[in-house]
Amino acid sequence: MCDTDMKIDSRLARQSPKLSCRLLGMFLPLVFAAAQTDPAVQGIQTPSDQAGFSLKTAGGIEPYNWGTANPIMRFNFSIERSDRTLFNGLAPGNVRAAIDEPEPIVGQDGRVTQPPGGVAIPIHPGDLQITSAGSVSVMLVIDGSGSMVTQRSGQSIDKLSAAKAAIYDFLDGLHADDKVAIIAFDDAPRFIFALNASKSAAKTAVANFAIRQPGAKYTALYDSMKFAVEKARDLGVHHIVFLTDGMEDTLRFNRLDPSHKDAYRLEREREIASLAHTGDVHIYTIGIGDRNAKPSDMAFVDFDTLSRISKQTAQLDANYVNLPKLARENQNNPAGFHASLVAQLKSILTEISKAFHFDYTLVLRPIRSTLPQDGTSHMVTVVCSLEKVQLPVRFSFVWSRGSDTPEISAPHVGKPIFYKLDQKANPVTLITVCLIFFSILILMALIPPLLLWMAKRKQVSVANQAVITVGDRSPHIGKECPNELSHLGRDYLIKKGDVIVVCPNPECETAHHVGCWHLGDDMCWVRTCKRYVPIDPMLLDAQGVED
Amino acid sequence: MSPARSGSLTGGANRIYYYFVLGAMGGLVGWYFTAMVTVAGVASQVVLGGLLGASIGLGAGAFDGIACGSMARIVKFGGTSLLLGLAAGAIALPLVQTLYGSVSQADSVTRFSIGTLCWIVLGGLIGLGEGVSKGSQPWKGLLGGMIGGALGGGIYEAVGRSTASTGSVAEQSVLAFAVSTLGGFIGSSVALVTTVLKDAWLVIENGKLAGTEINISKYVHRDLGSRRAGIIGSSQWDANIYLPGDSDVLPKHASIGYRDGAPTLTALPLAIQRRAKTLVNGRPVTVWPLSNGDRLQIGSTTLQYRQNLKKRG
Repeated sequence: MCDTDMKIDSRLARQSPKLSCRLLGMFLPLVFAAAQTDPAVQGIQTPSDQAGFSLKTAGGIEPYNWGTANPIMRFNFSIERSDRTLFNGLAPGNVRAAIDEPEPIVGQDGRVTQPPGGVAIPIHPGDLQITSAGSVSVMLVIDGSGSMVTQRSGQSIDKLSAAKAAIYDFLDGLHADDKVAIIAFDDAPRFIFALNASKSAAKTAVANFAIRQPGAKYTALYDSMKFAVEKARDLGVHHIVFLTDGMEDTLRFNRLDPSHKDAYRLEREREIASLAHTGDVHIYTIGIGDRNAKPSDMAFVDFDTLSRISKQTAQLDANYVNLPKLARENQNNPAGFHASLVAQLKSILTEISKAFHFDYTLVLRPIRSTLPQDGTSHMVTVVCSLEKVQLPVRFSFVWSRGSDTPEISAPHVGKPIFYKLDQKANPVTLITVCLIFFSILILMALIPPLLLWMAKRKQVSVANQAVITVGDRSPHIGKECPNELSHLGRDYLIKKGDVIVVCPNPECETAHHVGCWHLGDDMCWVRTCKRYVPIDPMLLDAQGVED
Repeated sequence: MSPARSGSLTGGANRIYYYFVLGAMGGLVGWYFTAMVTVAGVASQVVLGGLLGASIGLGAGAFDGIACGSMARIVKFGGTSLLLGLAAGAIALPLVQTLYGSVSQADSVTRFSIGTLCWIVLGGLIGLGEGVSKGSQPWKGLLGGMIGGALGGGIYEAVGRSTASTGSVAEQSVLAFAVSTLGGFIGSSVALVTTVLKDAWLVIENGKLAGTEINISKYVHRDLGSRRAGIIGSSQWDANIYLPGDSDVLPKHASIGYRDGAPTLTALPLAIQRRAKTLVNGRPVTVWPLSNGDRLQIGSTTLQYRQNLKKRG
């Protein structure tokens, strides 16, 4: 399938997919109306590899201005062809969105019918931006505190080397033009690799990085994150990957009264999120450890902090590597444990990297009055229509009263709805439609003869009334026919027994000899009248009037 | 002459109306065939465009033959328009498909414009066939067809393209409607433009075709008319101005052309030889310069010569 094919001919021969109308009245205006207003679709639900296209979201849904009259939801995505090349042919007209659209109905044969309903979100031409940015810049922030290499139950847990292996893989997956900067942190952050496109140099920097002493004793999580965001803003970097296995562990934090620690956390998180928003910086976080352990436990990872920051800046949850679970699965198998840890980190980084590379940014501008602020969940469906397939994305939002920001779930890509291009219309359908339209056209062709026939009938009727034979007491006796006038003598005046035509114009009613009337092209001779009434040729023959 | 007065179904507005109906029928037939055919690639565009163009061309071109009840003239003019429509569609659709492909990433307005361009080319070539085979100048047919293509094509692009074709009666109906409208607009626009812009015409006053207007602009044109005169006669194949149902009219009775600086009626040799009636304003003529309002009598058929005085000065 290709974006340039089947634009016109598919309409005519292949019966290709597009939006459809569902009901056709017999009247053409209804056909128009049905075609334009009903968004219902039908197709076959298929896996994306069969559909030929797949849609990949990049990051979460970002809400803006929900406290104003013009709320906005924004999200990034890419569309790939089955050969993994990017598809850049999506136009705003191919995108539709709706709130609380009913779920599609999947029949036993796999056919999907989208029932009408829901509140449409208008898509304007500028709402779909094709970014095609090409290269992106990413900042990796790695925890270099001592806890990254520890002993547990007599077993060495080298999270740092696992992270390094995953980072190599991550760097290999970046595009050639993509730039990367790497920051390590313990009790303070520092660049170990300045922003550069050389992945091999970055790998060398990662390989050479080692835990330092005595700084590795502490973990300045918030300061490091703030440092990274500030540097990212300065360098124009919009994506930070933040990897840690611990929590804020600084002298200042530790000295805080326990009752003040949560407030401190939230304050620092707000500060970081605010900074990130001003630079459009997204922070993707990875926590390695045990989120359920006590904070005093060496294995504890402050997943809640990571999650809040990630949600506030990238609209995504934090990524979590459950170390106790890995340990259980690989008991007495240090190599297996390490391999599993590396695999899981690689997988997480791969998923995160998808958020960097996107081609489209869709800005949804729902009409404020259509957004329910009722504290319940509402589903938003976005559908991108390509030539043969529709790619749906769904996410939900909950907007409570008094809140300026809704809670929005991560977007979920639905199964593509695929249309069989080679599906031919049923011959019976075609002949039915053809006959209906042909009948309409035949009727149209019959209208002028019918009108003509009616006009002639009327003329004959008028003529029959206009032609009279002058009787004994006729008021027309002695009157002048306007053809001859009196200068031709009294012999030409209308007399008893003459067949005359009395002009049917009520304002005229002038009497003519029938022959005179016909001589004047069947028109009244009075200049100001000129009323036309054709006289039956048989009548003329009977009167001896030559044609 | 109004239909009510003349009793003609073939003059003025009725002519434009019937061109619409016949063009729409052609479009409908084209839609039906293309919906039944399944071919792939460029071949599909050639076949589909050709079928559609041929059908619309046949519909629009066959009107005069139908109006005078002459199968030969249906074949002659309908066939000419069919072939030109076939060529037009076969060229236009692949051409614009290529254009369309090059703007696949453009906005909907650009794609709409390119799509409509396809139908303008198609309509223009079908209209050209009308101008070549009949009494109007070719450029007028071309212009009319292009206008029709723009109108009908615009509707098709707006309605037909945004409608699915998955097989239901409703969906097929919208598509059939869009394609029929396309054909109808091409046909009626050709008739409209050639009627509005006509320089000279004959009005048949009696006989089978009483009330019919025959466009003779091409034959009395200074350049075109001096090269090729229009033949008046009863021959279904040879006559350009066909007068059926009058046994006094010879197959090739007279001609109208441009001669010595004026539109001229010329009695053809056979008519002179057989002393067949060729009168202008009641006077027998062999060669006669025509003026607006002249009454011609060919055999027993009377015709009035009319010309656009503003244009002819």
